[in-house]
Amino acid sequence: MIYVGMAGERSGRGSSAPQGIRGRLSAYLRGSGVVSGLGEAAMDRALADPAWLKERSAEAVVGSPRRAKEWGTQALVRADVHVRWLTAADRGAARALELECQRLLAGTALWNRRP
Amino acid sequence: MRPRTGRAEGMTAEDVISVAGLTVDLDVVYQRMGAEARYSDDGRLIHDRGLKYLLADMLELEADHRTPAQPLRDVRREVAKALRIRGWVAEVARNGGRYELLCPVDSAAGANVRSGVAGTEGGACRSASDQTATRRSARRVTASRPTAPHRDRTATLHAPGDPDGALEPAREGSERAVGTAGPDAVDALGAWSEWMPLATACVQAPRLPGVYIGPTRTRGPGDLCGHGRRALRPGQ
Repeated sequence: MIYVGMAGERSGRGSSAPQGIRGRLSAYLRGSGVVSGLGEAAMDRALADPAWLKERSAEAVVGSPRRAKEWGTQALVRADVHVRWLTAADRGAARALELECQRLLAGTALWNRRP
Repeated sequence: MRPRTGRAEGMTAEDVISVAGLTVDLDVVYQRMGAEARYSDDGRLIHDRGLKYLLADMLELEADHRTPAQPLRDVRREVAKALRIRGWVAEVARNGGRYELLCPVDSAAGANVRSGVAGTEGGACRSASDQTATRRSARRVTASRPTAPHRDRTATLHAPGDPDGALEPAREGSERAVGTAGPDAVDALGAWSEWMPLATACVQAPRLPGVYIGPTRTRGPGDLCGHGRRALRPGQ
């Protein structure tokens, strides 16, 4: 296991339905979560991979540079991450579960920056 | 509303989208897009017919120039999102309805789609050739723009700037992977979902608060890799 994260209700905007865990995960793959959480962790590792950077550079050389969000998506595609989840009654319960997971996984090489 | 399709043998849940009782196989959608696409002046393969029309054909729904009615609107949104997050397509312009196809289009499967072989029930089931279609990779169609996803972890495990392995995922059996309680204790915290690819989870995860954890599926060369459902060697 490489990462533990928590998502709250994420009540959305206006009339949109709460997105919960789905919203958090989707934000990562849309590339909008590139500077926090799992998205940031995946990007850190992609940026440490010369081959991956070479591919991005090659795209720019041929005149088709990717947008920042696309870099975020590609970083997660590269990471080839599988996930699973556990639902909670509310944000507080989810936060408690997250802390417990991180405590149980203390000592492993989690990608979380502040486990 | 009746289900439009059954799941064909061999079909995986990873590339099938179900919305409001309508089931769509993304492989078939992609092949149909490929069959309808054209090359732009700069060599990109573009589908510009409109995803709603394509899906309407597949699902035997009505579509015209206006904003599609439900359930087609939701199906279009979810299919477009799924195709994007898998890295199969990219929007040419936001809300423009045009997509650049980023993966090779399998000619045999494409031919089957065009001839109507693929997909009984409105084309949402796979033909035999579709069932064995390889998983797509985010590889550009044009040879001048190689962007194959990097599957080899070796470079990451020995990445410059990461001499102490701080960027390295936990390796089973290594000292670093031995926690005070470990993954087994995490398993006991509750009823976890099945492991699934992140892209699939983006569609199937609940709209509820909760905790998610992610393993890496691939390990170093020669090591058994995988967690949960799969245990594969790199390259398999």
